[in-house]
Amino acid sequence: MTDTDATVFIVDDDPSVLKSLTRLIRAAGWNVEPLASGCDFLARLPFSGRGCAIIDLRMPDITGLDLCKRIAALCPSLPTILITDGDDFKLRAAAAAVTLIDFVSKPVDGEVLLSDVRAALARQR
Amino acid sequence: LTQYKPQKAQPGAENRYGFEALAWDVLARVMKAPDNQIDSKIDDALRRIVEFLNADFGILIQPTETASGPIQSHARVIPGRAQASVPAYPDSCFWVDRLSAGGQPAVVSRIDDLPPEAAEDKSFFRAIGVETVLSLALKARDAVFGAFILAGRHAQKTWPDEILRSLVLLVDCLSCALDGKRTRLEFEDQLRFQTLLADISTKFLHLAAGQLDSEILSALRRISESFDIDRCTLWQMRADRPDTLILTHVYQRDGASPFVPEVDAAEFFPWILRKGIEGDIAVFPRLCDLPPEAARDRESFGKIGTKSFLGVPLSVGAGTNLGALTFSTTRAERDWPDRSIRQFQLLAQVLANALARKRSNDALRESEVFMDVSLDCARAGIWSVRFAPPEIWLSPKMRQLCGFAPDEEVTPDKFLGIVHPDDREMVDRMVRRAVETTEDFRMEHRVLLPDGTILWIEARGRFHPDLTGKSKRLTAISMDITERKMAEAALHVSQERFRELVEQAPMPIGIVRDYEILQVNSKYVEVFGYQNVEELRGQPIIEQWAPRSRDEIRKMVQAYETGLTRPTEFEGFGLRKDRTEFPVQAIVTVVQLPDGPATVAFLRDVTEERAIEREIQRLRDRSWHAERLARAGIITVSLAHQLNQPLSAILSNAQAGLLLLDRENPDLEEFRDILKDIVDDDRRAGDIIRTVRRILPREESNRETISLAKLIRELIAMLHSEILDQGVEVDTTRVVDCAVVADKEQIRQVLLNLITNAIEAMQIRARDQRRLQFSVARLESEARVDVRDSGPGIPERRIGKMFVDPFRTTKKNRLGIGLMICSSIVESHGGRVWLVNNPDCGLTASFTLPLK
Repeated sequence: MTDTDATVFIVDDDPSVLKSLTRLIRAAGWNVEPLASGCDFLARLPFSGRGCAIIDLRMPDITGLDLCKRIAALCPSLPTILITDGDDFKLRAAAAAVTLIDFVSKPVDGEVLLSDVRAALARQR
Repeated sequence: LTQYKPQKAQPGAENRYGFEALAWDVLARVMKAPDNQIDSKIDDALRRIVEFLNADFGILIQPTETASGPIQSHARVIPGRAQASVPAYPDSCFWVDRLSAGGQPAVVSRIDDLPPEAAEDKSFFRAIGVETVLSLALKARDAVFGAFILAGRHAQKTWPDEILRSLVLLVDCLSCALDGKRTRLEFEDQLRFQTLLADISTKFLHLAAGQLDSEILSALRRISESFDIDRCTLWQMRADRPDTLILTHVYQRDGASPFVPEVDAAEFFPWILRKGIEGDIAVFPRLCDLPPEAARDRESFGKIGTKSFLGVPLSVGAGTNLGALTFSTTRAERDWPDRSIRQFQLLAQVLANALARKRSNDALRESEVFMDVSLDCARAGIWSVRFAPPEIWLSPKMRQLCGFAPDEEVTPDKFLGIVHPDDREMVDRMVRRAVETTEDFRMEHRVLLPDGTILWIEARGRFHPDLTGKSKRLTAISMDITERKMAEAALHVSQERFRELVEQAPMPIGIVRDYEILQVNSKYVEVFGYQNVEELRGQPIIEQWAPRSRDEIRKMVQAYETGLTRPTEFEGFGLRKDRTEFPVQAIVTVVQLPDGPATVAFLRDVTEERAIEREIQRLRDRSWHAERLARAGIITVSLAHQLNQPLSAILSNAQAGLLLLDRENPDLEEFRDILKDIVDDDRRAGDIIRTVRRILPREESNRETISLAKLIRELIAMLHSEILDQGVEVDTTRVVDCAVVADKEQIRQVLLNLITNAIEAMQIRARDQRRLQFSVARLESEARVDVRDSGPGIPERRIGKMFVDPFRTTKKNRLGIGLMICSSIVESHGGRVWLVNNPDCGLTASFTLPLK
């Protein structure tokens, strides 16, 4: 069921969260590229292969919305899954208008996240 | 006047009120002052007004008896702003004349704008450095008697209307006080003089031949005492030396006369003598007022210590000069106002006729005829009645006084007929009594003349044997005292004026005597919710106040009834007719009314001010509450965010671990790492919670035995104004006394939250449908408190979530936080909190606490 050739970028400034998500996605069978900040991720782009990005909305170096705009500009086809605090409805709407985005509320339920990743990759295909 | 604005604040409503309050305070102080303190109170008032309005000068101009024109009676200069003293205002006073026409305040922005005819005013103001003037007339009984002037050193165009209005009111008050004093003094003076004149005249009427000298001395003594004269002398012309006067009678106040008898006026007082022989009066308030040609007189006066002098010729009929009567002071200089000179002349007349009688070789057959002459100036006459057979004799002067023609036939009945119908019965009674007792009688009555004129008459006399000794006659002097009665009436008018001012006052005023309301003004009637004054007159003053203010009122009224006179201020709660209460501020003082002293309270309804204060307090409370909420909110958001991180990591790790276990060859090293990370993240979550707990204020719990009923009562008292404001009806009939061991402050917080929630919830109801019911019940092992409101209640689906899901409600619903706090406090005491919608309407919040 899993595309082993797809790459899942995980962007989170919290090392323990980054580590646990990386472990989870990897355990599910995808390639994972963990990144500790938004800027690191932007530096990694453009990316032309199959894949998706899981991004924490709250990061110190760049706001989630700005990051989404930059991703939309650099690789418009890359689906993004945004991890939010759960009640930022306005931000969600703004981000959804920019690019292909899904949302997962904190605390992150691994099963929900994995099914979102699957759906995102399917959409890309 | 450049800055008429009071220094403290802009002339807004509050400040206007400030000036009005000042005006009434000034009135209260001036009104209560005894006559000898009125001037100093007015000085004080002038100072306060000048300072309040930040003017440079305040001047009060009033006429005096001696000077022909007005003089400045009070002046106030702000130190450092002008010359220390202000010279006397010029006699030809343009301002008073001009103001007498209008009565409105006159403003002169620049002294240069004054018309040419005000040249004297102009130079006067120039001299004291005044550039602008505001002038108001002092008025009494429709006549202007002076002016109140505020002046400044710099040009000033306009004055705010409200300040002008208050000034007019204030000046009215000052006028009223000054006029009252003047009228009282005039009246007392009149009364004193007429009594003296009547007494002396009566004495001489019944005089035996050998008593004249001693009666003259006694008259001199009485005159001295009545008019505060140090020395009275009587000089007579000797038959053998018509060109000089010889001193025959002296009354010296301290007893030690510098004179030896038979002093010759020609030797010591040539100038005064000349005046006396010519029939002129001689008067000088000060020795230096004597003309140069009176050098010898001045020298003599200096030797005998005379400081001030009045000499009146003694004459009978036309040009018959008998001598002179002199009045002098040795302790201080004094003025001799025209009015008092006239009075001394009348007294001299009486003495002159007594002397004429002594000199007369052929004794007058009827002493009455002689006396009548002496009473000419005093508008008095003599009458004598014999009852059986009826016969009456009237002196010519008496006939004139009563409006009878000189040759008109008068019977006793006809004579009594001119007595005013309303006084006739009283006169009959007095006459009968005089006849029965043969004692001296004295009465005041009116006569109604044929032309409709009404005169007031004072009659004094006695029932005595006539010259033949065979029958008895009632003989009396009747004196026209209409003038004195007019002065009395004027005094009454002045008191009426006070009453009027009270009536017109914009603030409620109540006058109290013997713990009862004597009088209130219409503003009082209005503010206290009555229809008319009659409802209040005679009511106990205590009932005008709310029960909680009564102790204080009782003490205060008692203090005034037992002699306290200084004004006091206090605040309490007034009680309207409909039993509602309102906050009142009062200035209380004592006034002299015609029938004795009374306590006057100037009141202010301070509902609005207190409402504003309460609103400020509420805003303050609200911001405190908001701050707490915000703090709680921030902590909550931060807590959620921070906890989300380790929780996310734990969940992801655990799920990764589960996925790992699904594999055929699970990597146990990886699995160990996962478990280790989970443990670390869990610790991290614990640390976060501990940190948050440290941030939240820790309240020390202080357990003691408390009475729930007492606590509820205290809270109701504390929230009284709020409850009153919201029109909430509070029912505590189901509160039983029940002691629990708890933290009083915390339980108070719980009750306060529940009550506040209830009051807020009921705001959507009409005022008469807001009902707050407390009940305290003692159960088996716990006490139960219910706070029941008549608000809309809470939807059933939310009622259960009010406590369990506080984070969802933090932003929109402070009820949640409040209930959470209640819940945590009550639970920490071992009780619980719950909400139930009432069957009819509203919500009941209940909590329990273990019994002690």
